[in-house]
Amino acid sequence: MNTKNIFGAIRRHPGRTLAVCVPLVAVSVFTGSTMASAQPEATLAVSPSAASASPAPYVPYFGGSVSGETRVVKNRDVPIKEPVNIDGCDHDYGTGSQCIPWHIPASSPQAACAWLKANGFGSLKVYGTNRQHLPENSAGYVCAAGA
Amino acid sequence: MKNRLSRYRDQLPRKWRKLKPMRAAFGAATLALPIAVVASSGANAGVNLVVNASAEQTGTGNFPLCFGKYGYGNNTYSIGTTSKAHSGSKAIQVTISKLSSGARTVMTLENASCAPWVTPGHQYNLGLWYMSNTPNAVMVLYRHDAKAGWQYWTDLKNLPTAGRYAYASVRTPQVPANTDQIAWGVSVYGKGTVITDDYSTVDATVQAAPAAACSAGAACTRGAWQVMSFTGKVRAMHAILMYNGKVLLVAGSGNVATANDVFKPGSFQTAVYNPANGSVTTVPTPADFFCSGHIQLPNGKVLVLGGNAAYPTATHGYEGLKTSYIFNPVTDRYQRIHDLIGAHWYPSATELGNGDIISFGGLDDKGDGTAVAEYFKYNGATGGSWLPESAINEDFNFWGLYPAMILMANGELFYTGSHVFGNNISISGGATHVAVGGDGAAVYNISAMLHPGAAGDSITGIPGLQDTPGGPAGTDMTDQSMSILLPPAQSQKVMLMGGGNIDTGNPGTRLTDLINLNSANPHYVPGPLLPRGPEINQQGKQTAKLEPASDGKMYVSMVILPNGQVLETGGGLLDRQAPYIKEASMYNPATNRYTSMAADPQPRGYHSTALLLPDGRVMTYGNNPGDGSYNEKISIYSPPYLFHGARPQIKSVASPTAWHYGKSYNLKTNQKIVSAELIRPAAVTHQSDPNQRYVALSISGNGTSVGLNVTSNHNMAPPGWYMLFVNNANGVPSVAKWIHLN
Repeated sequence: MNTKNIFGAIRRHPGRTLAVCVPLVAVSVFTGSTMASAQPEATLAVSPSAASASPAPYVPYFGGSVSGETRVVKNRDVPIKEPVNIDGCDHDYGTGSQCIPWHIPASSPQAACAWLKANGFGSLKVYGTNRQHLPENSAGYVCAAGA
Repeated sequence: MKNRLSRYRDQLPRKWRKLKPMRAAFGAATLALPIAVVASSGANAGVNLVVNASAEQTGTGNFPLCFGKYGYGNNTYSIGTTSKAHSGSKAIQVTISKLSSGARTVMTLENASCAPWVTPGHQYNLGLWYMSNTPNAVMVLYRHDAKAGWQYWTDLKNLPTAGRYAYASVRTPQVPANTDQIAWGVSVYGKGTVITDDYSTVDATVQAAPAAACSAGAACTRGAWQVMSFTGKVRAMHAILMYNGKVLLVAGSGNVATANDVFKPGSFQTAVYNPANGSVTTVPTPADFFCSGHIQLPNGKVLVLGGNAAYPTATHGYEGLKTSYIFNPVTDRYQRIHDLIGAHWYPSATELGNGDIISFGGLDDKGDGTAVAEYFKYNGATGGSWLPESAINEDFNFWGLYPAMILMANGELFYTGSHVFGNNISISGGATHVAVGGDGAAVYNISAMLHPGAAGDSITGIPGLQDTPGGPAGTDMTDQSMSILLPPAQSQKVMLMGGGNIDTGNPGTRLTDLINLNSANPHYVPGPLLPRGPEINQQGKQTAKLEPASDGKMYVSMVILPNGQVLETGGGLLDRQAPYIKEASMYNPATNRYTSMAADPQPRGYHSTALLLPDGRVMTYGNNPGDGSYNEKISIYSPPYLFHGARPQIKSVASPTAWHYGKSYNLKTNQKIVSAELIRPAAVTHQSDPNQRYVALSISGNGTSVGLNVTSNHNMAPPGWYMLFVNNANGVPSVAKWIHLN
C-alpha cells in the first residue's frame, strides 16, 4: 500500500483509522516510545551467572578515614588487674548482694550510718576491715543500734 | 482513571461516540492506559522534576546536561552515552571492566539548576528505565541541607539484572526538615554495564488522614504507663525479645544474698513473659547466668555466654564463668554447648554481618580483666560453635566490661565508649591493652580476626567524647551510659547518652555525644543535654521537684521506636542508690530534639532493662539498689502514636521467613504507608544492647500493595529475625510482623 492509498483509506474509513491509531498513540505516549523512532529493541547481554547472582553488599564511601591514632594490636595474653572495688562497692561490709559505696557520701561516720539507713541498709557485718571507720559494735557489726 | 476517561469521552461529538470503531478505540486506550501506568508506577502521574530526563541534551564534557559522573576506588571504567536509548537517541552508560574497589555513579548534578527541588515532609517517586548485566547496581540518594549543604542520604534499591529495558521505581523517605533539593542516580559497584534512561522524580506524598480527635487526654502527647498487677517472678538483669513475641528474662543468682552469703547454684530460674496474654512461666537456669552475655542467633535461638562463678569478698572480685548455653524458644529450654576459651563476667556480644558472634571483655575466673576475644562461628545447619583459641588471631586487647561494640556498615566495630564498671579504657598511646590515640572510643578493624598467624588488627582512636579523661568535661562518666545506633541504621549515627561513675559522690551526667560514622572524618560532637526530671526514692515517691541543673542520669535506657525516634526512660542520679529520676523523653534524630513524655512510675536504675515489644509498646523491668532489693514489677508504656487513630495493618507480606539481601518483597496493607522498617529485637542488660537497630526499607509503589526493598549490606542488618513495622502518614505504626532475614 503506497502513501496515496493510505490517505485514501483514512478518508474513506475515519472511524477504523482512529480505532487503530488511538491505542497506538496511547501506548506510545505512556511508554515513552514513538512509532517514528521504532527500531530494534535495545538489549544488553546478561550472563547466566550474573542473572542468578545476589548483589554484593553496597557500602558507601565518604572520602576520608578516622582521624585518631591507629595502631595494629598484638598484645600478649596478660589479664588486667582490676581493683576489687571495680563495681564501686565496699565489700568489707554486708552481704554479697549488697553494695555499700566505696565512698559513702557523708561527712562523718554517724552521718554515713544515717545515709545507709536512709538508703535501706540495716546494720552491716564487717567481713574485711572497717575501712570507712563506721561505728562498730563488739559483734562485728557497723551502724547497729548502740554501736 | 475510569472516571477521567469517561469525562474525556463525554466531551467528544456525539456522532463520533456513536461510531463502533471509535468505541473500540477508547476501549483499547482504556486498556492501554492502566498497563502503561502500572509499567511506570505512576511516575508520569505528576510533574517530572528531572531536568533533561531523557539525557538528550548535552552539557559540558559532551555528557548529558544536568547529569554528573562520580566515583572512587581502584577500578577501570567508562562513563558516556549510548544509542541504546529507551526513548530518543541517547542513554547513559556506565561500564566497569576491572574492579578492585570502589564504585562509579551517574546521577543528577548537585546544583541549584539541575537537582530537583523538594518540600520537607513530602515523598518522591524516583523512576528510571535501565538495562544491567551486573547485580551490583543500586539507586543512591543525596539531599541538600539548607545549612549543611549536600550530603549522602541513603541507598534505596538494588537493580536486578535486565537484558531489556526494565523500569525501576522507588519512593524516597519523607524529606527531612531543611532539605530543599535532592540528587539521585545509580551507583555501579561491580564489573558490568548499566544503561539508564528516562529519569523521573515525581511528588508521591501520601496525605495524612484527617486527624481524629484524640480522647486520651495527656496520653495523646505524652503516652501512658501501666504497671502490671503481676511480677516477672525473677531477679533478671537480662531481657531478650524472642521471635515468638515472648520476653526471656534470664536470671541466675540475681545478685541475691543467701543465708550464708554464698550463691546457691542449681536453684536459678529464668522467666518467659508473654506480653500478649500476661503469662509468666519459669524454666530452670542451668548455671549462674548473673551478668552473662547474650544475643539472638540468626536462627532465633538465644546464645548465652559466661556468667558468674563467685561473688566478691573484701579482697577478691567477681569471677567469671566459661560455660555457654543456647536457649530454644520452641522448647523453652537451655542446652549447653562447649565452653568458651576463657571465663567472662560482663562480656559483650555483637552479631557480625555473616551471622557470627564476637565477644569481648569482662572479668575472668580470677577476677581479672580478660583480654581474650571469643568468636562464635554460626552455622545454619548445625547452629554453630565457639571457635578454639587456635582458630582465632587474638589481639588480646582488653576492652573493659560490657563494652558497647556496634557493627558498622563496613564490617568494622565501633567501641562507643559505653561500658559498665570501672573507668573507661585508657587512652594513653603506647601502653598495652588500650585503645590508642583517641578519647575513650575507637574503631576496631577485625578483618584479621580469623587468620591465625597474621598481623594483629588495627584500632583507631575516635576523638570528641566529652566525658572522658582529657575530654572537654575532664571526667570519666561513661560508666553505665547507653549508646545505640540511631534510626535509621543507614545514617550510621551513634548516640551515647548519660552515664556516671562508680564513685557514689558523682551524680550522673546530662551530657550526650553524637557521631556520624558516615562522615569522612568521624568524631564525636556534643549532643543535646538530657532533660531533667523530678527525683524519686526507691518506692517511687517524689523527693525533689527537679534534679539539679548540672546533673543527669546513669542507667538511662534507650529504646528505638517504630516511628524512627528513641525513647529515653528511667535512670538514676547515683551509682545504685536513690534518688532515681522520674523522666522520659522521645529523642528525634532528625531534629536532634527531645519531646517530654510520661515517665515510668517505677524507679529504674541499676540492673533495669527496657525493650520494644512487637505491638509497639515498651516494657521496662527491674531495679537493684545497693541494699540488695530487687524490683520485679513490669511497666508497660504506650507511646502517643498508639492514641492517634487506626493503626495500619499488614495484611500480607511475601516470604516472611525467607527474606534475602538486596531483594524486594510485596507487602499488602489496609492503608497507604509512608515508611517501613526492620527493627531488631532487643537483647539488653546493664543498658547495653549494641545490636539494637532500625533498618529502613525503601518502598516501591504508592498504594496498599507495595514493594519493600531490603538493603544489600548484611552489615547494615545482620541476619536473623526482625520486626517489620509500617507507618501511616499520621505517624501511627502497625503491629509488627516477624521477618527472617538471611
